[in-house]
This record gives sequence, C-alpha cells and structure tokens, in this order.
Amino acid sequence: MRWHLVKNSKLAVVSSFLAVVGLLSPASAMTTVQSQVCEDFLAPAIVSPSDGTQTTEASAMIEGTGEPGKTVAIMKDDVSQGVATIASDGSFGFTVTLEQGDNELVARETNECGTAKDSPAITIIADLPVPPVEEPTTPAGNPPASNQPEPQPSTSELGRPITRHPSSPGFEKPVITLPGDGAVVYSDTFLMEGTAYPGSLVTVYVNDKSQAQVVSSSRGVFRVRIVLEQGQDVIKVLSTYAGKSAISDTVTVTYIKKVTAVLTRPLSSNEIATTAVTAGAAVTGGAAVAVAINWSLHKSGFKLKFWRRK
Amino acid sequence: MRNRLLVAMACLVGLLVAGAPIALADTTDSTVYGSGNYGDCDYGSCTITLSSGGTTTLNVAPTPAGKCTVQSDTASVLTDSTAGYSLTMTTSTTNNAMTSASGSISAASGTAASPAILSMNTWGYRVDSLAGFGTGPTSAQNNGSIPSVSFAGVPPSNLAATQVASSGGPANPAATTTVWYGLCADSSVPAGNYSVTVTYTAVTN
Repeated sequence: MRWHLVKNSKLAVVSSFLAVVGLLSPASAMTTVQSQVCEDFLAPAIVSPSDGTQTTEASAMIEGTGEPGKTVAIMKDDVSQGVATIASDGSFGFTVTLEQGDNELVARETNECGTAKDSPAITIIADLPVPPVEEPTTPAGNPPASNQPEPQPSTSELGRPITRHPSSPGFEKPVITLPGDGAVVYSDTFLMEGTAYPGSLVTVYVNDKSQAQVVSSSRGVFRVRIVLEQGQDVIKVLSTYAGKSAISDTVTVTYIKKVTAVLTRPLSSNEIATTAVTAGAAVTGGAAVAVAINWSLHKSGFKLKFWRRK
Repeated sequence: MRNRLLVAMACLVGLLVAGAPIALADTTDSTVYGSGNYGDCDYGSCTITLSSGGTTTLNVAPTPAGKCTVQSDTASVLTDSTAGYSLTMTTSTTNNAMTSASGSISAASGTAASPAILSMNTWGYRVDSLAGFGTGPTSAQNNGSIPSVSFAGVPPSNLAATQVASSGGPANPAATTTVWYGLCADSSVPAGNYSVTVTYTAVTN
C-alpha cells in the first residue's frame, strides 16, 4: 500500500502512531511441557528354570522376581508369551509353551512410564517326543460329533505354533483345578492351576479384575501365580481360541492374612493377651477359651502357654 | 509544541482504548513529508498468527546416576508483514520450574546467549543455531544420557522474554521454529506428574 507522512499535521502523526499500535498486536500460543517422572525399578530375574535346562515337556513353569505391582511379560523372539502382575512379595510365575529346540526367554518388566527392563535371557532346550498318529475314534457314551468341526489348533492365540497333545479334548470350558473351591489360604499369592483347550489364551480374573494371561500348554494345562485380596476372592478363567471362548466355574477362596501373635504376659487362667491385637481377649468359659485358642493359632501359628495365677 | 503533541496523542490513545470512534483528518492537502510502499498487507491491519504443538512430553524413569529425555515442539508464525516478525517466549507464570504435587524441577541456569549442558534435576530449551546454542543438530531421546548440546532456562513471566526466532520479511507460508525441550532427573526427584506452561508470543516488526 501507499503511505504518507505529512509535515505539520498532528492528526497524521497520530494516525501513523495508531497504525504502529495495530502492527504490534501480538499473537500468542501456549505449550505445556509435561513430564511423568517414574521411580527407578530393578530389572526382573528368572530364577527357575535355570539357563540351559533341557526338558521333554512341552511347557515350562517360569518363575522369577521383580518389582511388586509392575507388569511382567515373558518374551520369546520379542513376542509376549503371557503377562502377569508381580505379587507383593516380588514373585511371578506362569507357564509358557515350548517349541522343539532352543527356547530363549526373557522376562520384561514395564512401569507406568512405559519403560521396560529385561532380565538376562535363559534358554530352555526342548526335546519333545513326536506325537503318535491318532486314529479318529468316538469314545463310548459320547454323543456323535456335530457338523460343527472343533477348531484344530496349529498356533496359539499369541501366534506361536503349538503341538497338540493327542489326548487333548475338544474345545470345552476351562477348569480351575487348584485351588479348590472353598479353600482357605494364608498367603496373598497363590500358584493356581487348571486345564483349558491346548494353545488357548487363558485370562485369569480375580474378583472380576483381569490379573494375568497365559497360554495353555499342548496338554491343555496352565499355571499362573495370582495375587489375592484379604477375605474372599472369586476366581474364574476365560479360555479363548479361534473365535471360541468359554468361562470356567468360579472358585472361591478365602485369604486370611497372617498376624503374628506374641503372648506377652500371664494374666489369669482364663485370660489371653497378645501384642498382635489391640487388646487382650478376656474369656470366661471353657468353650470361649477354645474359640480364642483356635483364633490365635490361625492368626499366628505360635504355641500359646498359659499360666495359672498363684 | 512537543508537549502539546504528546498530550494530544495520549488523549487519542485513551479514546481508542475506551472504544470511542476516531475521525482522521484528510491530509492530502498537506505537505508530503515522506512516502513509500509498505508491503503486502494494509498498514495497521497486518495480521500475524502463531500456533504451537500444545504439549511436549518429557517422561523419564530416573536412575541414581540420572536419565535425560529430550523432545521438541514446533512454533509456526504466519504473517505478510514485510518488516518481519519476532517470536519470544516465557513461562506463563513467575515460577519457571516444572512443578507437581510432590516436588519441582528447576529451570536450567543457562541463557540463550550463554547456554550450558543440562544439570541433573533441571529442564531447559534450545533452538538449533540460535544465539549461543550452536548448530546441533539436536536429537530426540528418552531416558538417555545427558545430551551433549547446551540448553537454557525459559525465563519466567516477570522477566524479559527470550527470543527464539525472528525474520526481516514476510513469513508466508508459515515459518516454523523447532524448540527442543530437555529434562534430566535422578532418583532424588520424587515420582509424579510435573508440568509448566510456556507462552510463545509473536509480533510483527
């Protein structure tokens, strides 16, 4: 554009000044610089089996240690074979399916920042027996096969090739074999076991929260360490394979937290005092004493001694 | 005479701020003092627009020896002003530390004229080839070692803004400036979500 600045004209000077004001109108933008700082954590370690272990089994129970609460995955060729949450005592464990030959496995722990740390790798050498050719049979008492063919697994849900054991049943709902329904346990971690369709992806739910995933072995067995909450825990597993899924019956276990009870002083023939509870338990009748003793033994595992007041 | 002129200008600025309409005199009959072609946009209506990435994330999982993360943001300036533009920045508040509920991470002590290698538990910025920063090039990293390039602290809002880009001519299409942010932290930094807001300002020259 054409501009004019005129001599001896106050308004012209003012108009120029206003124009400069207009030019100086700033533009602004904001950027948030953010950082999630996560605590450092120790790399996981596989404690069992040892490096170089040879086996004829088609699966292996991998046990290790890591940072409680972090997620750990067993990696083979950078592919996850299953994930679990590390228990409060720092332990983890679940079963992985093995392939013929060398199986190099690494435990990979990840924190909330997405930082991953790997354990030293271990190699499990699997010398798997060649499965015999199975003649198609219909077991006595079983209904004839339907038109819907059972899925024949050649690869697991995680994409790994598997060898299906000849005695494996068709796709059916998974079963929790350990712990038994109604069991009482005194540890917050438990190595649960069960059966599911070979090669299927087994998701373990504790109190309706997904806690671990593992692939069942070619024999249809899975094992995984779970973390229990104090009180009653309802456990179920979901088995998924080739678009089919089935859920197990629920199993309820009761986790009672161990409390160390120490008998501190003799009170009287019908009084018990411990430091693990807030007050001594005063009992008056023989039946009540029995109840108190049972309670104490459950809580402590200590032997109780009684003194009779002289 | 000069004082009267200043008073008149002040009054008119006051009227402008108050929203009062201003009538300008026809100056075509006056003696022409100077003239010329200003540029591609109308004098007084040259626009300038500025945009940035919005969020730059510098997550870090510290170790006792410390880890550093470096990521970039991009500021884009668009203007037809033939006089060019200036892009500056400060933090949005008078505190230029990154803060969280559990602690804070101080801004780097260096300046654009005299940047320095990032110290542990500090954050800073750099612009390749600007002022004393050196050419770089800077590379993004996550949980790495201390970067070999130097960084400066973003000044707080109560201090003079630091210039991160400028030009002597129009920026159309938009001129982009890559602003790198770096953060180093060791295990002494409490875990948490830290943040700070940086305000970029672009003005035509």
